[in-house]
Amino acid sequence: MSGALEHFRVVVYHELHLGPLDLSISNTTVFIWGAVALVVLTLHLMVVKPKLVPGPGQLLAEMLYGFVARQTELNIHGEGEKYIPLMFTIFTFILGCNLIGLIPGAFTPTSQLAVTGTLAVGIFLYATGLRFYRHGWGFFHAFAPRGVPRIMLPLMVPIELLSFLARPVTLALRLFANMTAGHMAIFVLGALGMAAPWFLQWLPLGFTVIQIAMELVIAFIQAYIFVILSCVYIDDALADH
Amino acid sequence: MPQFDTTFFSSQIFWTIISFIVLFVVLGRWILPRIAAILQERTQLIEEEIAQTRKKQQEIDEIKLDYADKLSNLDDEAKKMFDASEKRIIERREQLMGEWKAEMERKKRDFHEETEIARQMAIRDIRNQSADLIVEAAEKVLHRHIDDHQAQQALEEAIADMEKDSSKKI
Repeated sequence: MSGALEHFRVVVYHELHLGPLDLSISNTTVFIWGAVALVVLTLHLMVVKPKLVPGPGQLLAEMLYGFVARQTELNIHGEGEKYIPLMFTIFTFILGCNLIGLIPGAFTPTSQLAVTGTLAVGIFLYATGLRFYRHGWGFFHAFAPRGVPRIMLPLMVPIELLSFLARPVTLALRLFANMTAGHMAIFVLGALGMAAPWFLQWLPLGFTVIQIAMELVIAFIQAYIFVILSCVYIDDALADH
Repeated sequence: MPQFDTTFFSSQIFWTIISFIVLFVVLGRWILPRIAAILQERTQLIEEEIAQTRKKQQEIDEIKLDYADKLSNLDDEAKKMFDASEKRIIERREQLMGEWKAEMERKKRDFHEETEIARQMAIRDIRNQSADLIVEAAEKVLHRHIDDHQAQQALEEAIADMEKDSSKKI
């Protein structure tokens, strides 16, 4: 079991301290940079010379952009267009981090709670700030929805508040847990394959291949879910309550 | 689990934020505008094509309507043309008939005139020959010479008598 978790261990490559802050370059940092570079380079190559009749690469980039743009406009009612760059960045950042972890021997940045938590808290703080900016003290109306009997308020307000505060936690945990579980499953299946007698090795190793294929799909799905929920939170912040 | 070890949280959080911002800036400044621009250009082109197609379709519809209208008027026009043609034919026929009749009348008149002239000439010849015969006959009967004047007078009287007789018979 400890072997399976070894894959998630943070390894510091270069110590870096800024006062009390530890800003060391670790495998998380390197693979995040790798993911960012992968995203930027891939997209740059895809649209280096955009043409009216797109080639396969440009078409893929346009499809990806169109997909994120459509989801953003669908989920942030009326004002979705201006959040497209943010949502596209979130999507590609998470997707890049998820996919880079599928390279054999690589590290998955999104399997780190600190990384997913940072993204989730970042979105949560942004949405909360946006809600304050839009509604001022009307922000608190969201915790006491209209039409609810007064007698129910002592029950409703804590539930709503808890639900609100749980958003970043669930957002972070969902991505973290999915990535961790997926990679653990791959590791366990791989270890089983290696440990099995030679005539049975094809079974767990075959499942490993299937699991990797599933992880590819999960990488997209998790990025998609994160974006959709971010849109929902922003839309909720913009909406009147 | 190693992920819950808070030792590296600060560096992970810091580099996540920095990397995210870098990606956001790079995408927002260089990549996304290119994609958005080409999509916009394509959308615009497609919209222009659609607008042109709609315009052409409208023109086609107008031509079709015009054609259908002309087609419906074609029967009337054909009938008018047929009537006009028929009228022209009738007029021409009447004109030709008129001309032919006039020609016939003229020929008839000429024929009558020629006939009359021939008749007059024949009568004159007959008279002359008859006068000669009568003179010869009278000279043989009377055994004396009759001059032309007397012979002519006698002939005139004879003819006058004949005409009287023939008119009495009629």
